[in-house]
Amino acid sequence: MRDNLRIGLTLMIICLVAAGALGVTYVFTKGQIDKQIKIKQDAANIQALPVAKIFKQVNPAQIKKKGIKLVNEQDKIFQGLNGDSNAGYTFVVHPRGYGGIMEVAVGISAEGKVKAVVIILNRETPGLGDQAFKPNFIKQFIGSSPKDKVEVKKDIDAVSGATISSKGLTKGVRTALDYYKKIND
Amino acid sequence: MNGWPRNDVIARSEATWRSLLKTMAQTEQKQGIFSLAYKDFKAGILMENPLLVLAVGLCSALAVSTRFENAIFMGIAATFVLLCSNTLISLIRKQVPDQIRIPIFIVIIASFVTIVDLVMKGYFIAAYERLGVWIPLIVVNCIILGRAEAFAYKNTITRSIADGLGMGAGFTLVLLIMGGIRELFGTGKIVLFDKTILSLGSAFQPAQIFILFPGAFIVFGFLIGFLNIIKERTSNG
Repeated sequence: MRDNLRIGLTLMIICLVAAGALGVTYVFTKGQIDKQIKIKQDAANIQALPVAKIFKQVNPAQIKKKGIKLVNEQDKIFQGLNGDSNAGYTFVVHPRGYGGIMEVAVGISAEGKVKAVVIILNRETPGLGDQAFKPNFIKQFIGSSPKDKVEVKKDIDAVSGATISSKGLTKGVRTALDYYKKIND
Repeated sequence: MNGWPRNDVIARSEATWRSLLKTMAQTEQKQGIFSLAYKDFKAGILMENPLLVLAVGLCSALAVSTRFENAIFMGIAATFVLLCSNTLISLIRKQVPDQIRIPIFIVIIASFVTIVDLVMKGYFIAAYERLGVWIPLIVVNCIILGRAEAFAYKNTITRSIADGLGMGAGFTLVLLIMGGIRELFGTGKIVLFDKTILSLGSAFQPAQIFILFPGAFIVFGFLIGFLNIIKERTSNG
């Protein structure tokens, strides 16, 4: 009994100290990590919608007002501005692939055409699933608009060996187009 | 417990254990702690090199040694974790109950790895993304848990620090050699922080196999061979 108590207490003290140390590190590095995430996000936005100069995140209240229900809570919408005029939107969507959730930025111009699809984060199998991120597949999305189907087997050809990743990516683009339609309604 | 001399075995093994500790303490007194620590440090680099001789922690070493720069960051990260965990475990080794030493080692190692993970994410994002999953996987790197169990848990803090530094240096050294060879012959040049520091010229046709997994095994095999030649020479001479 005394032994069990000693074992439990030792483990508890060690875990508490470890948790404290990690908490302190987290607090000290959080600002810097957020900064890096923002830099990455900006880079993805510029790649997805090169015509825009600045990007402004559409805040959750506005999204709600437009009647958009986010498919994934982490989805983000940025409005691209060129001076004062609207240059289109980038949508950061999180479709499910083979290896888990992917993070994809879809740039849609003011004319309602998909400009670029940028993979920010993926866990697809290297050499197999990630074949779906090759330009040959992604170029099928370029120029599609909200009224297009954008669905595998309909107007998009999946990459063989990467069917699930292809479907996931296609679904992500479809989500972005749906968001775009709601925003312009 | 009739006919099962368990207590007897335990008592005897405890006696052996104590006498072993005693001899170790005596050698420490005789040889001086610092010369012993120096020996531990040197052993990690060559004669007990974690990768080439002990052959532990190979998985991450073979995977990340595709680039010289990766080798630097992986080496520093692993050495930091190894040094910290060795120091801390040696420091608290008398308070740690024997039955739960492994969970305690894992908690300590995982905490240091998480610290490295957060710091790299904040300050060295490019290297962090290239190393990917291998940074969190330092938690299960056999070198670190192995040294905790085989060395730091039984030895004084000075020697444990020396062992951590030596093993870390040995690991980093082999990674640097492998990363250098693989990048140089696989791509024709070595790029460090976006600057080409060594190039074989445009006439050289890069052999892509060096970058791929088979290249890792080939280079690693040759390194083990070379080390064995060196060892034979020194023991004969």
